[in-house]
Amino acid sequence: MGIPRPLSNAYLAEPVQTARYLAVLPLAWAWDTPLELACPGFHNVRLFISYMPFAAWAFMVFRVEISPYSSDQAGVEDWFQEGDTIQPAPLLAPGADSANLIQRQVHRYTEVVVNVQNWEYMLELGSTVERIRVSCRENSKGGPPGLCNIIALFGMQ
Amino acid sequence: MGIPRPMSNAYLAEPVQTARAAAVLPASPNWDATPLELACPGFSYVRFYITYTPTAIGDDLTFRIEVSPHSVDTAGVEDWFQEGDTLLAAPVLAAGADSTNLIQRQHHTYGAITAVVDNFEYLFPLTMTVERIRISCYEVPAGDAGSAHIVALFGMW
Repeated sequence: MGIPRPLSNAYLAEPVQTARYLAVLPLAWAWDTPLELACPGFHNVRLFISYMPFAAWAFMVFRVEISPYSSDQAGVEDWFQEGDTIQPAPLLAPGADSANLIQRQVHRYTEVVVNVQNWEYMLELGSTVERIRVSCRENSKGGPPGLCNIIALFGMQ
Repeated sequence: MGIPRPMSNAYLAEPVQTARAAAVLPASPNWDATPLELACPGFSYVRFYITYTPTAIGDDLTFRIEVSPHSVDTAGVEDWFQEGDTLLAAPVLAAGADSTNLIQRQHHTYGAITAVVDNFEYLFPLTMTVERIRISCYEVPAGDAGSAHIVALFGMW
């Protein structure tokens, strides 16, 4: 039985969506052209990532971008990269406002074995995102380029 | 398909709200003098989509979030409260002793990666406990005349 998704009928037929088809990863720090997934009304998305490196110490990097618009709009920025907030100091200082830093973030996974590796990454949507996309790239450490496949499951709670 | 917002009809027609119109940033330590107020009764989340256009790499955009428990300014009470930040005073708990946390007001600083346009996002939980929200900004260094544009999308869960 599938998961009911009353706020969006986009995924009723197939709850598991492809965020990146299985394909060779781009090298030389060029991001691949990502798929766009509509996600209005969803609370969470979990990315299920499969990475197949072909060299020791190869690593892949992925970034998540989101859009407040259901389609590209003229005259505005459409895509915003996932932010990361952290305190520059490990502790708060009494009597001073907390000055946090925020930057755009990417995620890097370094191979543990030269074979397929699977892991997951969850992002809170909070029903505040209309579209999401994931793009990837690799440093194959001189070896042949690796492969990556990403599927996504959207959740309501 | 838009997101139903049964608890507030304020945003039914246009879910993407302007939290800060595109404009030159004031120089630190002067916050935006008149930040826009956005009503958000009944919402669980707001995500800010922030576009920062600096004039030089290394320029900083700082923003702060203030929330109000009142739907309108109310005579005789405080109306706006800055986002708080809580941390342990020590990096670990001590067995047999009460935990003394520190809490301070917080703001967030983004350091420009490019001198063109940087887009990033910031998610703030509302948990149906906020009536109004506003975000104000400034830039460092003074006189660089970078600009910022912020839109907001509110979520029910």
